[in-house]
Order: sequence, then C-alpha cells, then structure tokens
Amino acid sequence: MDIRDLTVAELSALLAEGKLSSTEITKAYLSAIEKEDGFIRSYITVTAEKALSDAAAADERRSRGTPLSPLDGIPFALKDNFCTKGIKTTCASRMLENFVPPYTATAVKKLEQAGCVLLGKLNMDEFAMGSSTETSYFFKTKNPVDPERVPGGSSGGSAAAVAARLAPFALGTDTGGSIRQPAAFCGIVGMKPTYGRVSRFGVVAFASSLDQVGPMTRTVYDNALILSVIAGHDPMDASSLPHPVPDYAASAKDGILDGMRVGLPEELLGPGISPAIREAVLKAADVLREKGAVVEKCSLPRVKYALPAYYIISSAEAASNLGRYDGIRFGYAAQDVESISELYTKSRSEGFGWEVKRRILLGTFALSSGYYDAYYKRAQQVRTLIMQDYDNAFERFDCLLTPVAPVTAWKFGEMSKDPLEMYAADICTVSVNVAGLCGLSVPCGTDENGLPIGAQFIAKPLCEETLYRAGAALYGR
Amino acid sequence: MEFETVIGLEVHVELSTQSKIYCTCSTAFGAEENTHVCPVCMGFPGTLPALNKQAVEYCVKAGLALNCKINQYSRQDRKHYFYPDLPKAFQTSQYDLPLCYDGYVDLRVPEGDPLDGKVNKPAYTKRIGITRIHIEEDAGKLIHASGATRVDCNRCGVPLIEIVTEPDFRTSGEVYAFLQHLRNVLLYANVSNCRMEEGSMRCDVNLSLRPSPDAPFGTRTETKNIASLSATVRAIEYERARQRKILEKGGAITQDTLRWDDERGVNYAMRSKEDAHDYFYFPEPDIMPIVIDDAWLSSIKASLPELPHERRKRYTEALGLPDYDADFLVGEKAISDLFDACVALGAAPKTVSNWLMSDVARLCNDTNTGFDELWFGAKGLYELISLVEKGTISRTAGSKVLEAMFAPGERRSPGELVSALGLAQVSDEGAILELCKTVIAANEKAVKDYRAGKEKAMTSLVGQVMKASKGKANPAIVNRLMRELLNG
Repeated sequence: MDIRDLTVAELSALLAEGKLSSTEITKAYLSAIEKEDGFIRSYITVTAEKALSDAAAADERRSRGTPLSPLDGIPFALKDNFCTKGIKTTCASRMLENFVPPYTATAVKKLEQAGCVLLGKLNMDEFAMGSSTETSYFFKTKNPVDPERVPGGSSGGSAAAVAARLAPFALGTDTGGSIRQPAAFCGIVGMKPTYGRVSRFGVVAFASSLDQVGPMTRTVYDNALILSVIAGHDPMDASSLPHPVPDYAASAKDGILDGMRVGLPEELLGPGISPAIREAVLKAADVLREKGAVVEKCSLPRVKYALPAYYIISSAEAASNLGRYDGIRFGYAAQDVESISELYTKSRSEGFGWEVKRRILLGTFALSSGYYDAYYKRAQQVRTLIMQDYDNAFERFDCLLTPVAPVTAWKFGEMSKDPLEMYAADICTVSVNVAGLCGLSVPCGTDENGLPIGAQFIAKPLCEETLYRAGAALYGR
Repeated sequence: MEFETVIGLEVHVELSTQSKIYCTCSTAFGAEENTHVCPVCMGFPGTLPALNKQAVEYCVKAGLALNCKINQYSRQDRKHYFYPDLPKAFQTSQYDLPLCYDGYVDLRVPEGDPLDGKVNKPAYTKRIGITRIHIEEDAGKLIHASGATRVDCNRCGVPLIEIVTEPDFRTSGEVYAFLQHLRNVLLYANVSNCRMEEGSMRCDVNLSLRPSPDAPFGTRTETKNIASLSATVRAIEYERARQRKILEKGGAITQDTLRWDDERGVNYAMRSKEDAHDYFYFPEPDIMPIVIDDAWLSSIKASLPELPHERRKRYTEALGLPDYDADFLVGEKAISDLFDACVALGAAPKTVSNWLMSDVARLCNDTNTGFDELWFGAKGLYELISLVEKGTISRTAGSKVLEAMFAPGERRSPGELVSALGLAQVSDEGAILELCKTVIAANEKAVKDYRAGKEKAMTSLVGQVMKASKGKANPAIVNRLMRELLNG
C-alpha cells in the first residue's frame, strides 16, 4: 500500500481504525515533496516542521480517543493567497514576497479546527491573474501529466500538487475558472461553490464580487467531504451566506441520477471548442443518460458576453483591491525615493508583474469618469442578462453540462504572447462566477495526446449537492 | 458694486459609536499612535469589512432629527485616491444612494455680529435645505516630526456622517447659527460629541458671489481645514472679500479648493479644477446593500431622544417658562439636561431657570467650565436652591455659596459650605428683636422721620439691622419686627 495513493476518505477510515498515523501520512508526503517537487515545482513554501508537530498532536488526540473530526490528522496544502498566521503568504508576487500575515483565513481555520495538517503553500498566477500559473513571480509549475505543459491556473500549484500526489487535497480560489480549469488540465476534481458559500475572509482579494474558495481533490467524494468542512456563514465576511451546510458527501455517494434533467448549452459546444473535448463531453452526456438522467440541448444566447463583462468587472475590482499595495504598511517598498508619489510609483512598478499591471490599467480605465457608463455599468447590466439566461435554463434543467475549457493543457509560452488568446480560453467558466452559480469540474477522458479533459456541471446557487450527484455518476465516487 | 454671497456647507461629523465602522477597534480619542488598529482598519490583504449597525442607526437618527427622508435601500461605494493616511487606497463612502436626503432646518438667525460675544436675540427664521447625509469612514493622520513623516491609523475607520446643505446661506452669521444649531441637534440626538477641537466636527465651505439674488450662481470655491465655529466665520469673511476684490477688478473666479490658515487669517489654493480628482467611484462589493425595513426604521424613530424644539415646547407649555428662558435652556444640551435634572428632584422650574441664567452661567463662563462638567451636578445645585427656598440662607448668601462651590478643588456640599462660611440666616426672633431695639435707640432721627411718614427711613433702619447681623438676619423677620416696634 502506498500511502500517497489513498484518498482522503480512505485515509480517514485508516486513521479511525488506528492502522495509519498522521505522522506516517505526513512524513510520506513531506518526503515525496522533497524528492519530487524539485521537478514539478508546485510548492512555494513547505511548512515541514509545523506539519510534523501538528501531525504528532493529531496522533496524540487519536490515541486519547478524542479526534477533532474524521479528518483529524489528514494533510493538505493551500494556494498561496490564503493568509496563514505566521506563515509567508506571497500571492506568487514580488509585492508580497516577504509578507507574513498576523491572521488566518476563515476557510483554513475551519480545516485546522477539524485537525487537518498544513503541508505548505502552493504556486499560482500572481494575485490569481492568469490561466497557466506562468505569471508567478517565482517559477513555473509543471503539469504532472506532461511536464512540458502548464498545469492551468490560477490555482495551478494546487492542481499539480494534488495530481502529482504531493498533497491529498488542496484549497484553491476561483474568480473566473481558476479552480475548475487547472483541475481539468491536471485530471482532478475541482469545485467552485456558490458565491458566498465559503468565507472569503483572509483570502487575498482579486475581484471581490467573483472570488470564491473551493476544494481540489482526486475524487468527487473527497471534494464533498472538504466542502462540508469549509462552507458556512462567517460574521467576518458580509457576503457569506447564512444557509445551513448540508452533508455534501451524502450526495456524492449515489451513482443513480433517477430523472435528473441535464441541459447541454449549445453555445459552449460550438466552434472554438476542440473536437476531442466536444466528443468527450457528448460521451459524458451518454454516461449520464445510462445512469438515468434526461439530457437535452439548450441555449444560453447571451453567455458569449460573459467574457468581456468578466474582464471588465474583475479588472475594475482588482484595480481597487490592489491599491493598498503602496509600500507603506506591508509588502514591497522601493528604496531611495524622494517623494511619496515616487514611493508609490516605484513600489508598484517594481512589485507587480506585467499581467497584474495590465489588469490594474484595464480596471482603472473601466472605472474612470466618462468611461464608467460604457464599460463598468454596462458590464454589470450584462451580468443581469446572463443571470436571466441561466434562470431560464434552470426552469427546465437541474444542472448544465459543458466543457471546462475549449482546449487541453498547452505548452509553456504557447499562449503568453497574446493576452486576449489566453483570456478567450476562460469562455466556459467565467459565466458561472459572473452569475454567482456553482460549478464542478470532473475528468471525462483524454485527448489524442493523452491530456486530461474536464467536464463542467453548473447548477443554481446553493445546489452543490446536485453537482456532486452528477459528478459522482460520471466519475464515480 | 454690491454682491450677494451664496454659501453651501459640507459638514463632517464623527459618530460616537464605541467601535469603528468596519471592525471592533475602539474609537476613543487621544490614544497612543497606532494602538486602536487591527488588520481590517489597516487594510491588510484578505481582510473584509463588517458593517457596524449602530453607525447606520446613528446616521438615520441624524437624518430624522434634520427632517430628512430615509433611503430604505441604500449602499456603500468606494471612493479611490492614494494618500498614506488611507490604508486601502479607497474610502468607503456613499455615492448615489445616501442613507438620508431632502431634509431641512428652520434656523433662528440672531441679529448682529456672531463673534461680538453678545447673546443676540433672534432676528428672523430661515429654512436651510439639507441635500443629503451619508455615512463613510474617517482616514488616519500624518504626523510630520524631526524630518520624517509617520502615519497614525487610530482614526482610520472611525464612522463619519457627511451633511451636505443646499446653497441657502447668505451671511457668515447664518452659517454660524446653523453650525451651532446642528451641533446642538446632534448632541440632543446623542449621535456625536461634536467636538470641533478634537476634529469630531469639521466643515468645508462652498462660496460664490453673484451681482443680484436672481442672477445665476457664480463660480464657487471650496475652503477646507476649518477647525472651529469662529474660524468658519473668519474663513467666510476672508473668502468673500477675496472674491469681491477679484470681481470688482473685472477678474474671474477659478474653481479652486482652498486651505484655510486660521493663524495667519488667509487661505491658499490646494488644487484647481484642472487637477480635480477622478475618484473612480463604484459600489462596494464587500458590503451588502443596506436595507432598512419598516420595523427597523420605526425602532430607530422610537429611540430618538427629545429634540431641542420638542424640549422648548415642553418648557413653555407644560412648565410655563417664558420664551426667553426656554431659548436659553435648550440652546445648549448640557444646560437643558441640568435644568431637567434639578426640576426632576423637585425644584420649581422658574427658580432653577433663574439660577442657571444668572449665577451658574456667569460662573461657568468665568471658570471656563461646561454645564456638564460641574462636580456637584444637579444634586448639588438642587441642594443649594433648596437652602435658599427654605430660608436657611438668603439669596445673596446663596450666590456666595455657589461661588465657593466653583473654587478649584472644592468638594464640600452646599450645606457644609453654609456652616463653614457662617452664612446661615438668623431667624431667631428674640435675637433680631434685641438688634432692632439697639438700632432704634441709636437712630432717633430716622425713627422720627419714619413716624412723620417718611417710608424711606424704614429702609435705612432695616439696613442697619442687617449690617449689625453681618447680613445673616432674615430680612422678612427684621422688617416685620421693626414695624411692630415703631408702630406699636
């Protein structure tokens, strides 16, 4: 038995039976990281010492018969935009290269309270802006399936670490597809929950009205287990939803769909989607039919406007959220400056990378007086129309089935020349964030190069259970 | 050339909530630098605001007290600019949906110069429009010392309301009266301590001139950094004269933002319209829209304390006080509170009012003490008034006792002071009779005059008895016994 092949559910069972200790599991992962991550490069920071002492504490609790939860002692890793008290939180940016927060993100706190053991912090696109993890200030992360290719992004480090068995599970964040797309590229399961389902407190903000935290796992069941732990209302996040958290894992068990109505939006299966992906998604539809689902074509006529609306709204909010990096209280501060305006200009010019600067410029433009109505306001109006499209679809369907991305993982540098080309690759995922829905990415085959393809299920707000049912039917527990 | 002055105000008032608007840090004034701060008000990465409900209620209270309509669906917006005292590089404020709008104040404007130190009688009443009141967060403070600049974030996130008026003022006297009135109303509503010297009430003045009341508005300037009521008057008069001089020479006013320097008595331009900020306003995505349902609104209405005009009505109608007394009492919340407390203890309203308007007011003024800072409070004042009413001491002796109570460090009660100062009134008829007899024996001429019908002679005789008793004899008893002796 290789410990690293075990799912979270299996680890939990073996820990409960006393057949495995948290220390054994943690050591197995730490030594794998030491041996293999020099090649994959998914971790920015490894918290080995803390992990071993946390694991020992978990074992101690187990031996006394007082585990904190069924997940007590199970290791995990975090995208490096989750604030962790006393541990460097870089956002893969020079700006926060040495930033050590004095607080921990709520989602992470919940995992800690369940006894989970932090292994370290994972690479990402700088400030979560990108679709390939290539905009990281530090280094590029390889796709474990094909090391010449990107792992996707922005949660590329999280996807690579889980796929390469360098962590049993990881948390990511998803603003326009940043959990689902790297999950698809690396062949794992990624959930973007409903906006507000998981607290954003302590997650370094990119675009406040779109950001959401979610689990990245090897199985659908594991994913549901983790979401049950991290979801719920947080008084520190006014946008977090007060609704009770169901036992998501209960939904991820049942393989029979018994009359579930699944829509296939034709706009997201048309030209621009690679033939292998279209074929794989249509095959997935057949699998669902076999399990008892009713699958029919449908239309989201205005979903094509989601991409421009997304890039305007997310850039505007990012420009606002990133104003605080001014070199005064924390983060990178330029030296030898003569004036306050020079401190601002040099700190921000030197501390941010190109993609971040590009989004700040775009966002500032979209909010400037004289252009606000044509860009930001219009984008918000489009947002309402896209919600209406989805509302209409959800009158007929329990969930929708689409590709996660129009292409599979690309080679390093292949898409970095023209930013618009890379932005366009977000076409299938952004509308879910724009409309505040939930979306699940599960593997559904491979292309001609053996690269993983992801299927995306989309459901109404707070219908994560539907997604887990459909996901488990397609991909198994 | 004659010009009409047109003035509108933007008044910022710090709300007196215990904690800040988006975190639980204290709002207390005067703490050591950067001790009332946390990651939220310092704008650290990943932190989010949690709106203080009380700040919303206080803003709505202020709006209700100023006759505003309330937006039951309102929201917050981000106003962006870079400055080291603004941690997030945006101020969370309200843009197009303020909590309160469309209110007014019926202002009683006194005659004369507001700074002449006299209490001037109201000359006319004028309605001043309140355009809007919105809620926002304060910024921090820069401290320039020994060649370096440091940032103090204690004020970051302290809740503010901004009150914007219509351009309804025509004189600095109207502005002065408005600010006094506003301060008073907000004190009564109990939403701010309105201390201009601590920066908890600040005023920006928009001012323009026009050749006649029916001409279109002229180009206006905005004067900032005005730190007291009297400075407001000085800043207005200066700017009015400056614009007038330019216009008389045929020049044009530029739409500048000016900074008032009260020490030198001048203003200077901070920035012109050309480099006016674009604030990139947009709705704050981290705070949900503020929805005030009917139940919440009525509970805020119900919690609104008695306002000045309501107290005034009670004083004149229920307590039968003259208009003049009522105006004096409600003119300052601390006076009115002291009055109400004394009356509640059982004192006669008019008697309390007389004491407050005369001795108490004079002594507070002389010793620079606020009516709410008297160590003896309503209880002490009530005790003193009772001593006089019961005849234990004379009214004159009462004044002496009150004066003693104002002495620095004095903590003895009025009763104790009466004994210590030997001011107790003598009402022992035997003793007074002896004194009267002595005075009669020593003043044959006056006695003759009185018996010849000269009433004035009695005043002199009574005065002699009072003098002999060192002022302690009860004058009513002296008068009666003296008449009995001489007429008998």
